[in-house]
Amino acid sequence: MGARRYLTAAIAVGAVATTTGCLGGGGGTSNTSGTATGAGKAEVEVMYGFGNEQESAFHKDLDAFAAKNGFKVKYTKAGSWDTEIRTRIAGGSPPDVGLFPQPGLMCDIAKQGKILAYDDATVATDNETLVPGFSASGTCDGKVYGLPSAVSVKSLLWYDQAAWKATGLTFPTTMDELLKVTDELKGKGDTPWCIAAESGAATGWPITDWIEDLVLRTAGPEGYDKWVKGELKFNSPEVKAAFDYFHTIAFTEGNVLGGTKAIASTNFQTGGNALFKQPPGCYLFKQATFIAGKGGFPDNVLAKLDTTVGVAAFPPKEAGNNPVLVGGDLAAAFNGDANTIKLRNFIASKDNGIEVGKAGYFSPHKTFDVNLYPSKTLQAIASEVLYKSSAARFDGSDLMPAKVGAGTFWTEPIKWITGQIDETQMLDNIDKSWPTS
Amino acid sequence: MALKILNALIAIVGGIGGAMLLFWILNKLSESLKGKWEDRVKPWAFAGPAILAIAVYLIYPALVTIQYSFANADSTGYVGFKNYTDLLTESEFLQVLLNNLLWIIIVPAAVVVLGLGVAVLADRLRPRGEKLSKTIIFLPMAISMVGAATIWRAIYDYQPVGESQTGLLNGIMQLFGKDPVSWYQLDTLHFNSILLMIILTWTQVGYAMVLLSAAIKSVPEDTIEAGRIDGAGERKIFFSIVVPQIWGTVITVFITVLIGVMKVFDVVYVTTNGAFNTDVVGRRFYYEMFTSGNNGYAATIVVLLMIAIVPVLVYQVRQFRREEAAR
Repeated sequence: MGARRYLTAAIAVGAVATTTGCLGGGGGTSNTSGTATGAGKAEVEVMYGFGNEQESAFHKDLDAFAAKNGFKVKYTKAGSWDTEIRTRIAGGSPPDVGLFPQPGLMCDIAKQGKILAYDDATVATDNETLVPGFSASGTCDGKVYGLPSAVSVKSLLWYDQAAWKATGLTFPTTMDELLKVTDELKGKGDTPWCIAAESGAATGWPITDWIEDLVLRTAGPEGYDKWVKGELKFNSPEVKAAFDYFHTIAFTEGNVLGGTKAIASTNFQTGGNALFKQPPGCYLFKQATFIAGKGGFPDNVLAKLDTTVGVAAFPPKEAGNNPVLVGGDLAAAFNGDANTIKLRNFIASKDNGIEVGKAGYFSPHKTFDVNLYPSKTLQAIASEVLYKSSAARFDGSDLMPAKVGAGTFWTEPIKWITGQIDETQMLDNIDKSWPTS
Repeated sequence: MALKILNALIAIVGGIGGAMLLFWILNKLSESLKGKWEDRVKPWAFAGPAILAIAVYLIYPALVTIQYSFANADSTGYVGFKNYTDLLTESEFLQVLLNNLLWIIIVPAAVVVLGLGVAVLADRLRPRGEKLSKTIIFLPMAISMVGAATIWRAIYDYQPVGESQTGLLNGIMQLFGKDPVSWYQLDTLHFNSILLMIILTWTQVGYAMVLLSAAIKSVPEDTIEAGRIDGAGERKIFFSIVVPQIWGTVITVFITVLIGVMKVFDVVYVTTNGAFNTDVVGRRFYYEMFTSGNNGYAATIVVLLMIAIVPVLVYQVRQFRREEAAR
């Protein structure tokens, strides 16, 4: 028996032991008790899932606040938020403050008693300046567990300023007018719309944004809330009306560049580029704020963003009463430490977001100085769309059970659009897939 | 960072050292036994830990998977054969199975035929040309499936009519004044599935080529010469002399690719995510497990896949044994 043999055998077993064994990862204790207590930690850990310029700007905002209050912030970025936050909680070592991109998951965790609700005074103060609807989206079982820090706006229609002017049409301010404008453009031999839903493995999500915006209008914000909870079915008249409206726009011959086949195959990031062609490939494109950033519209268009690109709110049912669909992060606290609560409340307050705003991400507070946003286009979105809206609602597919929100709600409309199934089948399929428990 | 590296080093040294110690102790213990018993126990002392590891990490999970396939979505109660009957009567899942069947029929055969063709033809080139052509064909092997699927996007990409086409195929269509085609949506006769199969074939041909080329080179020259002397033509020599002698390698390559194809996931996930009737078993499993959270369906799909793969594995092991015996 040579030592060599021991070694080979040992390496084999050792490899198994080290790859499967749980190394590092300390125990830590979870604190689920009461309200703000204790002297306050010297270091507060914040966990979040966003990146890019938003991340570094977010650090600057928080560092400034923490320095003033005599503590430090430790930043943990989760590459895959859902999985990592669940793992940290299950492992008994959650961060102090978490920024939840989805209210749905946050409420699950609130039900397990792992996060703390905001006190009434803070909620009341924030509600004075928040766009209506935001504190409701962070409410689980009657208590507010999360309030938003930075948001993006989804209810937007993009167009080319010069091209639109050349048509001589007034921009639609109601859903009916939008249909009329669509017909008029088509009547002149132009293609009114670009619709793009291709996103690799996530193909279909841009359609959910379309439908959500429409449901928010056909069923109203209250109906929308019921819909995302599953109380209002997809085949109910209010929700079906939204699909019908989309059908009129997307399925009518000549309305969409490339026809319905193009919708499922055109990439969501470049799908609006035809707006800026000479002559224009289409005149209207619906997409969230990010499209006016790198990777979205062509670089030469972005260079002259304010003079080229026009943006307006997706028209409401009746003019003036405009709900807005948003995405964003909700700040929640995992323990009652004084500094944790202080930091969480700051993140959600109207004083936060100066640097984040300069980086081009919107504060959900109406009192925020819109001049801080880096372009006229973004300033217009903030003052004309977000801060004027009558009701803000979070992205509905993020709120629904994943089986629907990231499953059938993506796939079934694509089948509908490409002609594999009809509208009734699609709605029934989605309803059937809704988890029963 | 330094702490983490140190931690890793301690883990490696501790892990290997600990295992060495374990084997040393087991060896000493078996040596302390008398006479025949030492010979009887010793093999188990060394094979035991490995068998134990396989039992814990492979056999136990497999059994639990079978158990879960008879349970409901969140594994809280048994539902009998409901998962099986549900899936096997669902028209969409039958399409998934049909797609997989097509993959199984087409891809391994295409890989072997193309790999063999390249190996034979490259064998006739001058050394420099052979090396170059083989390297180029082998290159895709180094690319991950996700990378390959993304690269092929540049070929199948689609832009609406009137836009400049960024995809190669639609670029050609445009050149001839034809309307662009949305390739991934062409599901007549599962044509879009075949387009995806091309991607996988592209990555696997290099593998087949390398093994088959080595096999061809080891065919004894005198057998071929004997054939020539007897007046056999090139085709006769290839099919009656070369192929029978490399048949073992052909089978090995075929089965390895076949097993890989049965588990195909990445190519479909990245390109269409199973839309337009291109879904396969692997992607559907992922969807049930991680999107739907339906453990019952997911486990059932895995069990069905396991049942389908077992005969192939058995055949491969038998084939291997037969070859060993013939040697």
